[in-house]
Amino acid sequence: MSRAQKRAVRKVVVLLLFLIICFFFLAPYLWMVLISLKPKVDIYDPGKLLFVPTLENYRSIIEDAHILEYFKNSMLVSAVSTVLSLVIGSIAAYGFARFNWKDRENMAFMVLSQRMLPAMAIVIPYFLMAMFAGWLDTRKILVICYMLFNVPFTILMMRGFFEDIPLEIEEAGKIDGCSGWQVLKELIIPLSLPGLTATAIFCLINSWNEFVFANFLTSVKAKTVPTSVMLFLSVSGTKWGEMAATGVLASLPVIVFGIAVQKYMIRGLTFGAVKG
Amino acid sequence: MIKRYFKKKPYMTYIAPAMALMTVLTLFPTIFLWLISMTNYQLGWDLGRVKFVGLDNYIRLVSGRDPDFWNAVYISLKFMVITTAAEMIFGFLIGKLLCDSESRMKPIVFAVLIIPIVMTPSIAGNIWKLMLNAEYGIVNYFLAVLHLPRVTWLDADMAFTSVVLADIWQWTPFVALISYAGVCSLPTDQYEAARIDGGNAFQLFRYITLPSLRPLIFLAMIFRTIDSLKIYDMPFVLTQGGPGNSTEFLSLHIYRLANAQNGLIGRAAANAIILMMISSAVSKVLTYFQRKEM
Amino acid sequence: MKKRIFATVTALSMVILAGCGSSGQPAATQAPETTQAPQAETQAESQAETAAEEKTEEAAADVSTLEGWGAAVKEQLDGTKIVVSMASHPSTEAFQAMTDEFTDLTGIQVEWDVVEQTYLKNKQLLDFQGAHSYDVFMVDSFWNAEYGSKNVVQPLDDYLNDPEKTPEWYDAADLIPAYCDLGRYQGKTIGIPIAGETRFLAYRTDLFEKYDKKVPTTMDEFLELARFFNGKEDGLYGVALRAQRGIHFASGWLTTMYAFCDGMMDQKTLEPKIDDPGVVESLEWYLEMLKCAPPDVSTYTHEEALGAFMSGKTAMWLDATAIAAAITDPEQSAIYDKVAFAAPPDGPAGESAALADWNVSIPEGAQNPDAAWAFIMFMTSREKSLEYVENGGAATRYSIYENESLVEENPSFPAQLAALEKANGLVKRGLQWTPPHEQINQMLDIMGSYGSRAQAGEMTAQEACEKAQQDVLDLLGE
Repeated sequence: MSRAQKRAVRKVVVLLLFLIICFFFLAPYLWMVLISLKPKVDIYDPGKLLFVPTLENYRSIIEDAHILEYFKNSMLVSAVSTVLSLVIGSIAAYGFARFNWKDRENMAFMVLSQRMLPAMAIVIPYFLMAMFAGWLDTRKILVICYMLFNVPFTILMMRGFFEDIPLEIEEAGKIDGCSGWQVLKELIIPLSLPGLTATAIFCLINSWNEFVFANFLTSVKAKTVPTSVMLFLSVSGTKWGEMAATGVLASLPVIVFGIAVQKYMIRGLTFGAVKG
Repeated sequence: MIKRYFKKKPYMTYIAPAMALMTVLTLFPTIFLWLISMTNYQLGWDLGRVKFVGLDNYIRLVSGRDPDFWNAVYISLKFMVITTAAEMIFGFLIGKLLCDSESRMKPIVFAVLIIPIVMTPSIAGNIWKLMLNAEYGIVNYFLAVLHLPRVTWLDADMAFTSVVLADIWQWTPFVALISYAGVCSLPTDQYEAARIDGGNAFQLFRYITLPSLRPLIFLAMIFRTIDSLKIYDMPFVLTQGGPGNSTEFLSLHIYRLANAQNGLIGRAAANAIILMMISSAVSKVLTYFQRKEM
Repeated sequence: MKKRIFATVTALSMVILAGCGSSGQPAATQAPETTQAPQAETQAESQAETAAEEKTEEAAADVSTLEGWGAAVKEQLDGTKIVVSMASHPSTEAFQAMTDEFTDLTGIQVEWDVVEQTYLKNKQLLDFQGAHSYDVFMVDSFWNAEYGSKNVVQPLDDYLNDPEKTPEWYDAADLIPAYCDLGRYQGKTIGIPIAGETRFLAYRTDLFEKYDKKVPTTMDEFLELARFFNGKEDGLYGVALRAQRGIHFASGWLTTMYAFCDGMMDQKTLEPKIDDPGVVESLEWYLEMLKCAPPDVSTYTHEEALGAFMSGKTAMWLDATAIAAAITDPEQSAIYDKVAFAAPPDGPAGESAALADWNVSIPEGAQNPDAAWAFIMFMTSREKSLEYVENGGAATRYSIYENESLVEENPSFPAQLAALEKANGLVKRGLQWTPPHEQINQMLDIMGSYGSRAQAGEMTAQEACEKAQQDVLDLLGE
C-alpha cells in the first residue's frame, strides 16, 4: 500500500470513528427531540420515523403544567447563586493566587473536598435546618445550597486564571498609586474576564441541573426544572412526550450557550490547567 | 487587634469571607448530621419522641442488620471502578483521536460532546429509560432490526449494566475534552527526539505522554471517582435502585431509608456519614498519589 | 341483570361496615365482627339526622342549594387561593376538569400540585415538616394511620357536624361506609373518600374463547391459567402484576395474601407474623404467578402492569378497579373490546379482596382550611358526583353504583360490585385489608424488599418471610 493510500484509509477510518462517536453521544438527545414532536399514539412505536410533527407537547407543558414557573425559579436560583459565588469565590481565589502561606495547599484541599461532598448525605441536615429556619420551599435556601458547590469551584478555577496574570502588571498598578482593592477591580478583573466567563458557565450548568437539593427542599413555590420529571409520571404511564419537550426546553439554552463558549468550557473542565 | 491580625496574614482579608461561608455551609451541617445519626428520629415525629441511641445506627449498618448496606457499598465501589476506568479509557482515546485529526468534522464532534455534559441528568435518565424499555424502546427495536436477541435492559441482571452505560454516555465526553486539551498541549519536539532515539509507540506513551499528562489524568480521575461514588439522579430515575437491590447505590440506599415511605432519618444519617467518609478517603488517597512525585 | 345489580348494591349497603354520616360513631376498625348490627343503626341514624339537618337548613336557607352555598362562600372567601397536593390519578383529573366551575361559584382559586403517588407522600410529609404550602392533601388509605398518629392532617368532624359547612345537598350518608371507615383514625374522621378501589381480575375474552378456558374461581385455577397462557402465543404472557421492589411488590402480594391466610399481622394485638406458614404460602404462590409475567415484571408498578395488559401482552391482569376504566377506553387500550372482568378468585382461607381508597384531607397548618373544606364539599358532593364520575373519577357513592345509565356504560361495574362483596367477605373474617398500624408502610417496604429479592432468586420465600419478620421486629423495637 502506498503512503497516499494508507493516508486515505486512515482518513476514512477516523471519519467512521467520528460518526460512531457522534451517533452514540447524540442519539439520546435526538431521540428526545423526536419524542417531543411525536403525537401521543406514535411514541410507543419506535420504528415509526415518519409522523406528522406536533407542538402539542410543548403547548401542554406550558399551558397545563405551567412549566415556565419552573424555568423562572431555575433561572433566578442559578443566576443569583452564580453571581454571589463568583464574587465571594474570586476574592478568595485571588488570595490563594497572590499570597503564600504555610497551610495554603492544605486549605486548598479543604476547598476541593467541599466540592466532593455527596449531596445526598448533606441534604438531610440541610432539610432539618431549613425546617427550623422556616426556609423550606423558598428560592433562597436553594441559592445557599448551590453556593455550597459553586464557591469551591470558583475558588479552584479562578486561582488558576489569576496565577496566569503576570505580577508585573499589578506592581505597575501599585506604583501608579492604586490600592490593593483598586488593583483587583481596575486591572485584574478585566484581565480575567475569560476565566470568569468559563467559571460562570459551569456554575450555571451545575445549578441548572441540580436535582437532590431541589427535590428535597422545595415543594410548590420554588421547584426547579430538574424536579419537573415527577410531573410526567401518571397512572396511565409516563407522559413521555411532555417530558421530552421539557428536556428540550431545559437543555436548549445550555447547549447553545455551551457550544458558543466551547473554548472556555474546555479550559474550565481542566480547572485552567490547560490554556485552551 | 483584628487589624493587626490581617496585617500579619494579608491573605486572610481575601479568603476569610469564603472560608467563613464554607464553614457555615459545611461544618455545621456535618456536625448536625453526626448528631442526627445518633438518634432514632423519624420523619414527621414531634421532637418529644426523639431518643439518643448512641452508635446503634452504625452498629446496625455494619453488623448486617441492614441487609442492603454492604451490597450498597459493594456496588457503589464496583460502579466507581468500572465507570471511571471505562470513561478514562474511552475519553482518552477520543481526545487523542480529536487531537491527531485535522478532519473538518472536528467542530461538530466538539459540539456533540458538549451535549451529554450539559443535559439535565434527571431528564437524561428518563430518556434512557424510554430508550431501554424492553417492549417499545428504540434500543431493542434496533436489536430486532439487526436480528439480535432483545434484551430486558432494566431487569435484575442488566439494570446495573444499563446504569453504567448511561453514566458512560454522560461523562465520557468530560474526560474526552480534558484529554483533548491535555494531549494537544504536549510539546511535539520531545516526541521527535524520542523517535530519533528509536522509541516505539508504547515507550513514547509510557515515558512521555503519561508523565506529562499526569496532573490532568489525576484531575479527571478524582472528579470521575467521586462523582460516580455519589451518583444519584441517573439511577434514581432509571431504576429507583431496583430491581431487587441490584442498583441500590449508597446514595439511593440513603434515599430509601430517608424518604417518606420509611422516614428513618436517624439511620439514613448514619449511612450518609459513612458515604462521606468513603468519598473523602478515596479523594485523600487520590490526591496523595497526585502530589507524590510532583 | 340490572335488577340483580341493584339488589347486590342494596345487600351490600346492609352489610358493609358502619355509616359515614356525621354521627361521630366510633369507627368499626378495631372490631369488624360487630359491624353488622350497628351498621344498620347508623344508616337509620343518619337518615334521621338528614331530616334534622333539613330543619336547620330552613333557618339558614341560603346554603340549602349549591348556588346559595356558593354565594355564601364567595362572600367570605372570594379571592382566596388554595394549594392542592394530589396524586396523578383519574380522580384528580376529574377534579381538575371541575375546577373552573368551582372557582366561578365560590371565587376560590385553586393551584394544583400533582405528582406520582410514590413521591406524593414524600412531598406531603416534607411539607408538613415546615413549609405548610398545602391546603388539601390527597391521601392513600395506607397512610391514614401514620398521618393520624403524626397529626399530619386535621380531624374533620367539626366541619362534618356543622350544617352550615356541610349542607344537605352534600349527602354524607350516600358515601359507601366501608370507604368512610378507612378515613378514620382512633374514632376521628380525618379523610373523606374520593376514589374507592378494590382489586379484580380482567381477562382477554378472545383468548379464553380460543382455548376454551373458564374464568378462574380459585387461586389454583388462576395460577394454572397463567401458566397455560404464558408463552402460548408469540409475545404473550400469562398475567400482569405489580412487582417493583418495595411498596409495589408488597401491595401486589397483599392483593392475594388474604386468600391464603389472615395476613401478616394479628389484627387484634397488631403483632406482626410475617413468618406465619400461610403468609409464606401466599408469597410462594405470588412468586409462581410472577414467573408467568413479562420478563421485566420486577420493574412493574401498577402503571406498567396496566400498560402491559392494555397493549395485549398478557392474558390476565389483577389490579385496582380505580384504574380499570382505561382498559375499555379505545384511545388507550389495544384490547378494549376483547376484555371482561371478574371478582378475584378465592383461596383456601376463604373469600377476600382488597379494599382501599384515596381520601382528601386538610393538613395541619393549612393556611385556608375553610376554603379547603369548601373545595372538598364541592368536589365530593352528591350534587357533583355524576359529573365527577363522567370525568373519570372513581366512585365512592351508592348513588353512582345505582345509576342505571352509568352501569350500562361501564362494563366493569358488576365485577366491581362482586369484588366489593368479596372484600366484604374479608370484613366478615374480622380483617382489615391494610392493618391499621402506624408503621404499616415501613413494614410493607421491608416485606416488599425481601419479596423482590426472593423473586430475583436470592432467597426462598421461607427465608424472605423470616428475614422480613426479623427486620420488622427490629424496626418496631426501636
